[in-house]
Amino acid sequence: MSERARATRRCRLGVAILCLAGCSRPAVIAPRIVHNADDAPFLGADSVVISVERAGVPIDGASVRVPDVATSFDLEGVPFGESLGLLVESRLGDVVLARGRSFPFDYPAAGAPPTLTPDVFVGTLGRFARTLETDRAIVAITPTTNGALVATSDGEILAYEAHGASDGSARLVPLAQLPERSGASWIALGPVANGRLLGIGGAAGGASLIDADGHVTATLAEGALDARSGIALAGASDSSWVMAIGGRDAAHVAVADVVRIDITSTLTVSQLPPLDAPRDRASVARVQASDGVDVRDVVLVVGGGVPSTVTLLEVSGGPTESFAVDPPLDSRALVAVETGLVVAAGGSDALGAPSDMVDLFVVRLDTHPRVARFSPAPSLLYAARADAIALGLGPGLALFVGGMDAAGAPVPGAELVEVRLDTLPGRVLPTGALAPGAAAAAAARLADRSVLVGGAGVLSAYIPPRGPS
Amino acid sequence: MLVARATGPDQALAEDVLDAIAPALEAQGLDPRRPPRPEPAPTPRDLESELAAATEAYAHLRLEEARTTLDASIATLEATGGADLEPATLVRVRVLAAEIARAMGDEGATERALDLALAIDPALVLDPALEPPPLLLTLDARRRALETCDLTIRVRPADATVILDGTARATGSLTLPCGTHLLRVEAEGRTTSARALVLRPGEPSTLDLTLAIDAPEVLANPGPPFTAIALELTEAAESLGGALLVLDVERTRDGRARARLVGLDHDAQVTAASDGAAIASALLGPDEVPAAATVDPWPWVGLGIGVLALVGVAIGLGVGLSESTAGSFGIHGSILP
Repeated sequence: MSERARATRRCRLGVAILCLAGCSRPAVIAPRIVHNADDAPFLGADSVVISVERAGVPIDGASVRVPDVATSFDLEGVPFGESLGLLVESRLGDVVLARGRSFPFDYPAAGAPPTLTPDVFVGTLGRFARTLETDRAIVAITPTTNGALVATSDGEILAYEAHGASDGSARLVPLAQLPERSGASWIALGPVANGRLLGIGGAAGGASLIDADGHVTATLAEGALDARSGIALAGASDSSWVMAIGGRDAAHVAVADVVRIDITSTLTVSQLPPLDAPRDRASVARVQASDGVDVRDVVLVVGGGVPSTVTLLEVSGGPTESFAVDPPLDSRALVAVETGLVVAAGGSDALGAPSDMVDLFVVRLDTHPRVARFSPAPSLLYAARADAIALGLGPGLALFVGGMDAAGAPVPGAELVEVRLDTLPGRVLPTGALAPGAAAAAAARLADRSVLVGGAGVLSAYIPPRGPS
Repeated sequence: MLVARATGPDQALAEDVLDAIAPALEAQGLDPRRPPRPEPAPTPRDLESELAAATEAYAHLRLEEARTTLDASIATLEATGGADLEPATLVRVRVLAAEIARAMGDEGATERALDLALAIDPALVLDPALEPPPLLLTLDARRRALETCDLTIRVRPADATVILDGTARATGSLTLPCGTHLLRVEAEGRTTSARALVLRPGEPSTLDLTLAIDAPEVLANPGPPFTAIALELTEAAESLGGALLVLDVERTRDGRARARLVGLDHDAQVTAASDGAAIASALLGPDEVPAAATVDPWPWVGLGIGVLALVGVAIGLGVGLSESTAGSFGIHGSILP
């Protein structure tokens, strides 16, 4: 640290001591701003701006700018309120180089301090920073109020506390062990900042619904849902149902079954009309589509069997619709980015070679056919990858991370696909790379708007450079 | 008019004979050297009647007769170029030739005739109600085979070698047959990029490719590539009109360093990206970044503390006396290294 920086810190300490002596104000919180050791979010910046938001909107006057070498900051006169958030930006002039947010907190009155300290993780825009190393294989992530709920391949449920360690960094806390869900297919469910996980199949049949505290709140008996693996899952936008599509049965034979699990305080299974052919490890996405009057959820199923098709499934079990796609690709990453617009990227061809193709599928329920591949397609991915993870980052923007290359090794780089209905077919932008050795098996956008990517051995945090900031 | 004709080596002899009698011919007002007058080009009316005859023969499946009739017209057309005929007429001749050839099972002749028709009218459309489906399919296939697509290639660094379908090509605008092409771009000190491009008719494609810096190679061989990268940094800064450039360094899976230059606008949106920059400084760890010029702080610290103490007391008194802070709270945060 430079002499100037030391002097600044000493001066600020002097101010803090004097202020605390002169103003005996009890309503004070002391958050920490942290970053990862392999990132340098303040490098190149000339200042750090700390401001307070309410419901994502900056509060006038609740902002302070400190030099980039500062080690503390004071922000007085912040109005009490709910759904508050601390925003920290590393800036060079007016340009933001790095950004971080606290998890939302309530501070309604002097006697009702927030239950969590609004610590902030700051990361360089568009980069991945390794936050945790673990010997577990993360397979599902859903956001919670202070981090995330994660499931591992052997059925362990853990809490990812974004600032749970004593130094303000992240930690994993074991919550439950479900041996019957070892090898299960998992899907993350809402509500947005207090997520749940639904595990289906695995070592035993049935399903388990896990709340944010790691408790099993509802189960399906083994007889209600046969043991299967490789199931493709899609969930409703309001988490009221999950569709379980295809997979392999206990004899490792691909099946064409489509099952809807309705989620209330219990889990209820409904058998829907099967697919046109068995599908194993198909790619699926729930998409909201317009029928000209209303918008409703439907499910798009891509690949996973022969012939390679795109199939539109009605949640109600209504008529399906399929068309063959050329070239046939499996193991694609699929995500809805707008109403009636789905992006599919990567995949593997019939010989197992990874693909760099990006496709747009447009879904309109008042037209015939109801689903079509948009032409021209966006540009190609920068790296061919199969089995990548797709994550929507807001309207028109999707993150594709990880996947496997031709040698079966993890692809470190990530790419953003930016596509909106008024700017079709969109474009592809490279962004960041996972740490060496890291692989992506699950990703979720947390309540602090960072992206948590998990896989075997490593959890990484990513701060999107684009999209809703 | 006297024409000396012979075959092979005898042609020279015939010419000699003609030369010998030429003076006599000229004395009679004849010019033996005047080229033979070509057969008069068929008038549109003649061609129309020949076309009609060929069409009728084809319609009655007298295929040999149809081909003979049409071939005579085509031979004349090819001799004269058919410059005085309407393009539509020329197209009709070629399409009829294709129809006859297809009916006779001569696929090669069918394709050649359709190629000639498409050369006159690239947008040629045959009436599906009148033409046999195989001919329509052949026309479609030949159109695709003959179609070209526009591709614009821009690469950075500018001196990168662009190899398209195994042949080195210049960058810029290219016109290529539509379909799939294999592109490979390589440059010293950069990682090679190879990919397949699919060019579709009517969809001009632009490939904007930046080769990533092969950091270990650059570091192991400092010199021209390093200089080029420094120049690129300067050019990129200028091309971005002074917008902020951020050097983004990442480690790849095998532990290699990869540098990327990113331009940001004032909303922190990436406006441009370029692999490359001052790789040496990029590979420095954060702790190794040269610090700003140091300033001896101590003469200022005492004064600063004194002034700030007064300010702090004033603020403290103000806060203590004010009732307006009842609805607010303070944040005293720390920025951890």
